Amino acid sequence: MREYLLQRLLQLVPVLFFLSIIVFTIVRLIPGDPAAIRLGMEATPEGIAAVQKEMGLDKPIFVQYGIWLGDVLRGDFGTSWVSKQPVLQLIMLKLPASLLLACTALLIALLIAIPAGIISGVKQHSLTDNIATTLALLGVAMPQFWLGLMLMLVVAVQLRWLPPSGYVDLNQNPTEAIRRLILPASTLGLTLAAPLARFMRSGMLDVMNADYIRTARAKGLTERMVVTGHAVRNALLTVITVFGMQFGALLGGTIVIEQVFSWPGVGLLAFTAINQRDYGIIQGVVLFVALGFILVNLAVDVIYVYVDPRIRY
Amino acid sequence: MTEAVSPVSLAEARDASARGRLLELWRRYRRNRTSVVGLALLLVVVLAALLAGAIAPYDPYASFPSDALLPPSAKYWLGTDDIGRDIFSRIIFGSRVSLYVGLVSMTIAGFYGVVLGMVSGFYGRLADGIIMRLMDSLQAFPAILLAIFILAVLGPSLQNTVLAIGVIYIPAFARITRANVLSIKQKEYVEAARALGARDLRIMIRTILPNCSSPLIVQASLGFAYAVLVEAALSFLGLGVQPPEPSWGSMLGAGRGLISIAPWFATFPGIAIFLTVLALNFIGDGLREALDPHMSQIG
Repeated sequence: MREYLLQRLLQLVPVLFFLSIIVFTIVRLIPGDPAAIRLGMEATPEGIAAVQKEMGLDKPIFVQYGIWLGDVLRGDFGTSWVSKQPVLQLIMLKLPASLLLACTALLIALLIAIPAGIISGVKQHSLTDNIATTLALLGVAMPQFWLGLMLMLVVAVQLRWLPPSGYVDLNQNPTEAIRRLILPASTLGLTLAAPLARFMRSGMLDVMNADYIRTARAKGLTERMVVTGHAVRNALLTVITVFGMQFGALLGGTIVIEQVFSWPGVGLLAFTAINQRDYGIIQGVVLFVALGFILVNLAVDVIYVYVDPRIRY
Repeated sequence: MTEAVSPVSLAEARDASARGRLLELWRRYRRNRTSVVGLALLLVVVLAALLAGAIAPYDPYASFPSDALLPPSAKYWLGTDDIGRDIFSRIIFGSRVSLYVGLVSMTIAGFYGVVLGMVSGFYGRLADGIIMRLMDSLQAFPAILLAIFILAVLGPSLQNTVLAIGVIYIPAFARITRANVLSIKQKEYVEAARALGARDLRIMIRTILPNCSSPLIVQASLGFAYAVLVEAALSFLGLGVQPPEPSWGSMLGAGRGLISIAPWFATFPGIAIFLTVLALNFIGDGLREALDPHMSQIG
């Protein structure tokens, strides 16, 4: 196990290297002089030269990359071009709101997808299966932000059950905080549930035909015990493998949905930065989210090895 | 006098067998009813895009300020937007944007993905290592975040949107191509081509590529659907297609602030996106079943 972990970490090195080059290069594609953009209306030739020096833009590109990479490795994700605050500090301020939204959405998705996938897989071609499969098919094609707007329209504007958008701190007013969390989290959760339910269903179908299920039945176990004790546990493995990929969709979705519901998380931070052309923040956020995504994928792979005793490294 | 096989009849024979294969493909494709529904739906979208000028009752850019935010009626079938433009006409013209983005971004992703995957799978070793680690790093970003990043830097426009979507989809094509090349290059017919003196490039293009086209076609159709969704999301966020260009996503973005007083404004463009993506997904599933019967046993 330790060897496997080490091997996986080593494999990450080239990926992280290329990732850093991609992020570094894209930011350098900004049309125009970053120093002039940073100064905005107050740009004078002397001012630009001074900022260029401060940002290290007067040095050769390889040196610039080296300095930047060194900073990142020390945990310095750069500073905001507008407020001059360290980007990591800004992200940490917004991260709890994003995590709350993403984790609630994930919980909703799993609560829907796993039971739906199990029932569909066990009772293939039944009415429930057909309904669940159709809903999942529709869910995959649904633009997330549109679903968010439609939920807002029906639940908040017409039925007036919940506030349409905004954020309240969970510690200050828990009831109101949860009321405001429901719509954005459901939007994300429902769209994430669709692909997960499809994977869970196909995992169940695969497993239900396996030899060990026949053995379990032959032992005289009730169908319920066969399904819950044997089939589900193995079908969940299928879901774990695709989870890493779906997690990327969840992160991306969170960024978009925060914008729809004015949810003050990392995504909204990035969008405010885009509008202010604050490339310092944009670069930091992209790097931060990508690193988080890589770590989750690594964790998923490790968990997978851990829960599936058939895999030996 | 010997009866020489004329080149014309050879070409005819090849045409006939190609037609036969297409017919067989269609026979298998139409077995799945939803795939046929998907094709019909897409046909409607394509016709709307091609004949937009003839179908749309109004000029999509013409605004009638006195008719702003009117609900659906006989005069304006799907209502009007905040500056009094006909939403139905704008949705019809918007289909052009969606189809254009899907088509061009998949061409970009397909071209670079196939080239990289082919080189990676065919030559292996260092080329494979570098290319696949690069693909890993591209996939280390949540896709939409990378697209947002590219557009934030390059600036919002239709061309940059297409480019961004193309870039984020390259790894999908590269991986599929590589996986197929790895298995195909072991086959006897590749060895035969090599024995006949064919060069690497010829083997790659004439022998290997046609044999891995099925999964690539399926990927392209599903990627098309994804591109339509991503373009809509990016334009919705104001990073993609810019007003006054009628894009479904940017219409939705403009309508979202008015959702409580003019719900039709954001509702109908969303339905257009939804139906188009649904149609493309149905087609993708149908193609998968028709082209690769082994893959579609489950799911």
